[in-house]
Amino acid sequence: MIDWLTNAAHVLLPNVSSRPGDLWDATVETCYMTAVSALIAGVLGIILGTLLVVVDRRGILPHPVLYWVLDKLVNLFRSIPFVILIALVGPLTRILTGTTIGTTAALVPLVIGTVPFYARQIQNAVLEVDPGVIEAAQAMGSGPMEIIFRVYLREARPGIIRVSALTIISLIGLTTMAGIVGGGGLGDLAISRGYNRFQTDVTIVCTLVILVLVYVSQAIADFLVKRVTH
Amino acid sequence: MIELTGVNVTFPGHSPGERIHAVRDVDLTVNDGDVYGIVGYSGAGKSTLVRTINLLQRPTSGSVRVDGQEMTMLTPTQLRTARKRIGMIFQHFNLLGSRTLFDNVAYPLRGNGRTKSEIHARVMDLLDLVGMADRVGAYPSQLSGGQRQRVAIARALANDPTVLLCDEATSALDPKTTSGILDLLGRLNARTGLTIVLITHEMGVIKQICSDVAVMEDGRIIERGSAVDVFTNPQQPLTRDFIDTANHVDAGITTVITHPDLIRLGNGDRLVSLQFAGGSTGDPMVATLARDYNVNANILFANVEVIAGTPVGNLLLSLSGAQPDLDAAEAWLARSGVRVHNYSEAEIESIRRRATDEPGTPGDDQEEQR
Repeated sequence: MIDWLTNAAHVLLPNVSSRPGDLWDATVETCYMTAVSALIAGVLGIILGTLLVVVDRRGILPHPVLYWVLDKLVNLFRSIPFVILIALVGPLTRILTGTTIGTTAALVPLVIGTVPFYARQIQNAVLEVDPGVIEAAQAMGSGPMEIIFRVYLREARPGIIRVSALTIISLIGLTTMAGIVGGGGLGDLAISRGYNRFQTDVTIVCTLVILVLVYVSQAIADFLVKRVTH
Repeated sequence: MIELTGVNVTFPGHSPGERIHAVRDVDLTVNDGDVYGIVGYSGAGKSTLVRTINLLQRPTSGSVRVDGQEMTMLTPTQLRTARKRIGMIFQHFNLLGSRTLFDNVAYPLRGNGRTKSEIHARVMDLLDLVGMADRVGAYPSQLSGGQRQRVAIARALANDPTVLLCDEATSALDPKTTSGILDLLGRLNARTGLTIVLITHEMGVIKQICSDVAVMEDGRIIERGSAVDVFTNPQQPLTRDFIDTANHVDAGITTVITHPDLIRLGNGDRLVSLQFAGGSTGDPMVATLARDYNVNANILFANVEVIAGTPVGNLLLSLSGAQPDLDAAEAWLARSGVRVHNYSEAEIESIRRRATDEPGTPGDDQEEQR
């Protein structure tokens, strides 16, 4: 059985099976870039997104100037195409990671490209919380921090999980461009071997692995949403 | 005790420079243990007014004192402490949908240095008080509106407030559930002396539990007093409108007057309505008229209802007898604390005309038209 499978792989996927380690490495790199940048961008995005709600004109700590600045910054960075962003943030990448090439260097543009997108999604998810519930919390004597952590972020959990899945999936897409700065990953493998060297089976397998990653992310999110929705 | 003095609230309007004056120069005193009802149509400013009490709405000018403390002068931290002494419930309950009933009621108790077992005991007491202890692990979405409002009441009472503000708390509930919630509020008031400020557009709510009432229109309080006084002797047309929605006396009297078979007034007969409140409802009035004043009374319409615990009766009588006897009888009635109203010919005519002009005349005809 195992022999038969190995033989079939050799015939159908000659270029993948000749160097199976490459596919594994690329998958690990993609998962690494996705996970680490999701973690960092997640924290920053939740802070920024919640801040946008809190300092909104109708928020619990209205601050029109701060809102205007944050709002415009988010829009600005969301407008920059990711490929250009990679080049644009090169100097910052060097300061933060000491280099501008490699998987870790790719994290900087990934985070900067994701935070504004995620923050906007978080803002919308948090805005979904019934204003009446916020009013009730204020009437009970809750302070701003209490309202943020015990009401906003808690009541918005289903929405937050949903937009997080959306963001992680879009992040998996972004990591495929990390090859530009030598970040590796499945996108890089699909282009450098599958496309440039006419090894179509590599491209197909990379696509399949990415599809699996996307479906797994979505399935986990759906499961979690179900758990926290009452 | 709640004292509002010269409270104004204005909002920026839609067009630049425009100001919407939601509350105008309101003075209001609510004594400890009162159940104070504020009634008015939507947009009258009553919701804004009640929100100034716990400063969810900061007044543009004026003073808000709760238990002697000037609320508008407090720092944010002091204000939060003061708000814990003022419970509030809402039209749409505003429970935390992601938390169980237990955690909803525990919400205001946490973070104040109470131990887990203290919180548990307190939450169970509160849920027991409102009759929801058996659903402690349920989520708000699994409850009916009335049940949610009970939980909201338990949550509002968690920190032993002296005041409970009710913002249209029964407006989203059906009449039976409304009555149950009002019963609960009335019991809380009777048992603990909790001061309740309640805003509503339903006069029936006022009738059921309020000791005092204020009528609001266009940001102002246009009439106020004890619930019995306002119900039995309304001064403003708007107040009368509201009272008509909550009792059937005027509609009933109109039906009787407009129905030709019901009234056969002989020459010199009088059509009078009597209204009496409190103790005099028990007296054998009609018998006394016949025995002591030689006046025959024919009862055309009678109604008794209880307003804020006081029985209020309404009678429509046709009286016949000698004119001096009729005068003496009416004088006696007025002396006994009964409000007597004589319907003149012109008035009867105008009531009849109004009834036929209006589409859907009161009484049986209206039933048939539906």
